[in-house]
Amino acid sequence: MSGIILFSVMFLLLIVGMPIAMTLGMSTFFVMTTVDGAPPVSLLARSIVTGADSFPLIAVPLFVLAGDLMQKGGLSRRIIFFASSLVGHVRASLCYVNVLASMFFAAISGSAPATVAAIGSNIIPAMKDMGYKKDFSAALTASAGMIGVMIPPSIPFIIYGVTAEVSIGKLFIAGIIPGILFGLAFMLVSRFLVRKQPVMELELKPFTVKGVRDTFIQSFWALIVPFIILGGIYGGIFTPTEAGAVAVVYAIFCGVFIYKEISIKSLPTIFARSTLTSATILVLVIFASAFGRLITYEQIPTTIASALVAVSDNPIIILLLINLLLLLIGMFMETISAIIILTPILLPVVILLGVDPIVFGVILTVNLAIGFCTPPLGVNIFVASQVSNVSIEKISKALLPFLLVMLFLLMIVTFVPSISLFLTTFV
Amino acid sequence: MKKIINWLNDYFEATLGGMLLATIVVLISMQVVMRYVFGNALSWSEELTLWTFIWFIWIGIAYAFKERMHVKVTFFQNILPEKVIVNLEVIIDLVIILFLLTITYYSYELITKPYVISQKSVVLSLPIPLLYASAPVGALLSTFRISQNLIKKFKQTNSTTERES
Repeated sequence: MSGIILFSVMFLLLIVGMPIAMTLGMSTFFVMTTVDGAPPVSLLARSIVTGADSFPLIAVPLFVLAGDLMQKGGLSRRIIFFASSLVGHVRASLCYVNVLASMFFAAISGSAPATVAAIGSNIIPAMKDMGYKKDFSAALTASAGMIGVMIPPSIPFIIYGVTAEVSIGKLFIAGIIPGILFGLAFMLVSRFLVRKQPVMELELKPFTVKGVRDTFIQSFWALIVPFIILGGIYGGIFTPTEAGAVAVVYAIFCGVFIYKEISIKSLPTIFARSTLTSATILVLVIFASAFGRLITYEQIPTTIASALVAVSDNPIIILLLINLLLLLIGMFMETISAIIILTPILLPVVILLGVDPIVFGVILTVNLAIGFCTPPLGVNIFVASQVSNVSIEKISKALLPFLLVMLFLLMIVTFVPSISLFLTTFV
Repeated sequence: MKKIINWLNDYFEATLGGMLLATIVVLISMQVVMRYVFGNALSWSEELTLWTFIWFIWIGIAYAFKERMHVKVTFFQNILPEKVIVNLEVIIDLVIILFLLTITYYSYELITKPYVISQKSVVLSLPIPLLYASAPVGALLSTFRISQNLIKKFKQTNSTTERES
């Protein structure tokens, strides 16, 4: 009963446009004060402080800050030059550069829209000069941006790891192969899509070892970031949170002293911006912790599990239903809030089906990341539209072939768990 | 004096939040350096980092209210006529204020409970109320920022209606 009250209040507040964090807090408060036998409000007062009492969670602002610093410090631009020296000599090369650079940037940033902004603002204009259709370029950039949350570091993985109490290090490594698969698939699709666009030959630059070497040297400091972060985590040198701090210090060092694109004076502005971005994520965690406890207390996951099992006892069908649900929610809801709300509800259900919690983290994140690229609420589309000046409708249309590929790969990730688990067996 | 108040009004959360974030970076980096360079892990830094982090979040929440950056679902709102949206947003802001004040009240109640007010933290034996104070302080600061935005909005609509008449 209190479950129904909780979700109706929540739904009502959400559709009128109440901030999601406030919605979580208010619906929890409402149930606590009106339903007999519900936990007392003092639990809410306590959990809005202790809900963030988690060292792994500190990785969120640190990776947000590191990403902001690396973009401002000119690291993303150098990554594009390097990618272009690698594949600049083949047909449709800028498509490959776009995807490759997004994958590299994904390895230093934990956010999908940040990846779209960093890569798109540099490469969409270049693609236009070479005669690519603008809506196609924007759609490719928006798709490639979703890899930003799959290749580590990844803010959704951190939030899932904290909520589900599973190892963030393992989640990070589980995302690598799926991320690379998505990247390769986007390259193939874009190659196929541009086969009849005529102007592509213009861009061909001969491949030279010197070109690769020069751009490699220029971008060296950016390219080793993933090795520092991942090597440090898996070498047992530091935790993911400490890796975040190391990445920040490293990014400041590179931006200020090596590339000299950040002045010490501009640091406070960058820190303030990251504070704002982080706060909009962390406020959700704070208000969701009481919500999560209430859900478990009222045994809502059990109720949903038995409802799902009543539909079918075939795990494949139930997993398909869960994917469908996640895709729909991903279309309308912001990723972090969706992870925070859905993890305590769905994780017990999928564990019953024999799904590994790490694999579910990947499935959940991929589903919601696809939501980045679907209207009406696709942040990647919004950002791509801002940096390309193409309307959201046009980008959405051009995204269709990419979306089909994403759905296909989603099925593979869902039903072939070894894709995610393979690398985790080595650490 | 007026200059200081104006500066605080514009940059208080941005500066304090940014400084708390910088503190977190320094504390964690120090922890790594101490462990590897001096082979001596700091016992107190994790607790201090967590406290800084929680204060950082609550100051950041107020900052996000000031900049109207909190995440919400706007899809259904967008279908409504503009006039309805404006009124709806005012109601939403008022409900948020009411909620934040309620939270402040319950936080205050929690802090003043005898077993909380005398409690000390495990490692540094800092007073626990200092940690719990982050929520009511952040909530009150948020309330202040939302009210500021509401007043700004009223002034704007008043001046446009005056011009129209």
